[in-house]
Amino acid sequence: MRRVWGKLKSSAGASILFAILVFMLCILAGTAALTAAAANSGRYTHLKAEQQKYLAVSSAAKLMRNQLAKNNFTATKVTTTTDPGSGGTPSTTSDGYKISDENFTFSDSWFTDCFEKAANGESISPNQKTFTITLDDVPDVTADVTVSANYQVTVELYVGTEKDNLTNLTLVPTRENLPTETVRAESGGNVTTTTTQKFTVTWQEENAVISQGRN
Amino acid sequence: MKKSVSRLLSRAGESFSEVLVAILIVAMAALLLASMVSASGSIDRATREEDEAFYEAISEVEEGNAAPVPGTITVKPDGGSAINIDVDVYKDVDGMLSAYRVKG
Repeated sequence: MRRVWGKLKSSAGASILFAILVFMLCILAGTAALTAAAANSGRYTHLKAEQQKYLAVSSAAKLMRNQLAKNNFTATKVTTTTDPGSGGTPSTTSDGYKISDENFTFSDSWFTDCFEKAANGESISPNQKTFTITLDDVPDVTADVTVSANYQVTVELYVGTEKDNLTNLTLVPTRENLPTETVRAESGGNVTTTTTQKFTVTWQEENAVISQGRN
Repeated sequence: MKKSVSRLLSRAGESFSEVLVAILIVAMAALLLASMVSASGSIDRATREEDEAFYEAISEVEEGNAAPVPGTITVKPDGGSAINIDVDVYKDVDGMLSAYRVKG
């Protein structure tokens, strides 16, 4: 016991102990500096990938705005009323609005179908279609295009399944009603009245809004 | 002979050798610390240069300062045929980032 107490009180070897302590402190400080530098350099790779995704979505949004704003169509409805006269019951026939003179950039019958249903006040289904926009060395962008009953077109653009860099594009339509044409014809006591109703719908880039969503 | 053994067993001068070893250890520690700090400085410098190049690349590509190269975008609807659209592709000097705009 006395020997142990003696050893504890002894100052022999204290300088080596101190030197080892200094050594450990220096190693700690050096490791901290290296770790901080390494962590700082690692963030660059992540930054580059995120920025490229943002550029891909931003470019795709402007492309879709440019292309969809070129779209336009005319909707025509012809109603024929035949009046047999002399107490007979008039009959009216009409096929509803039909899309004509359409100019759809993506040449897809889906747009024609959607806008025809909208013109006739029918429920639009399916009202959404997905497009994939690709270019070499750029991440693929998914564009979900939705058509509303008021002819407004909304596009949701994103990269990947997690919907990174979600961006929304909204194109507000301009509808113009054209003058109604009425033609009356008589034949064999029957009076036939043909009424043609028309309107046009266009979209402009100036009426388009691009906004960044979540993420 | 007895004198050499007694010198070896003697505790005189032990503190001097301790100090010598301690100095050696501290010198090694200082050298290690200096190397690590120098290495982290180099990494920091390289990171700063990469950062500057990165932000320059963003400026070139986003603001269209880079010379455009013709490219073709493919827009494919689900279940439909693909449409090709000619675009101007903007890439920075190092080819890090790319963006595009419709021609005209």
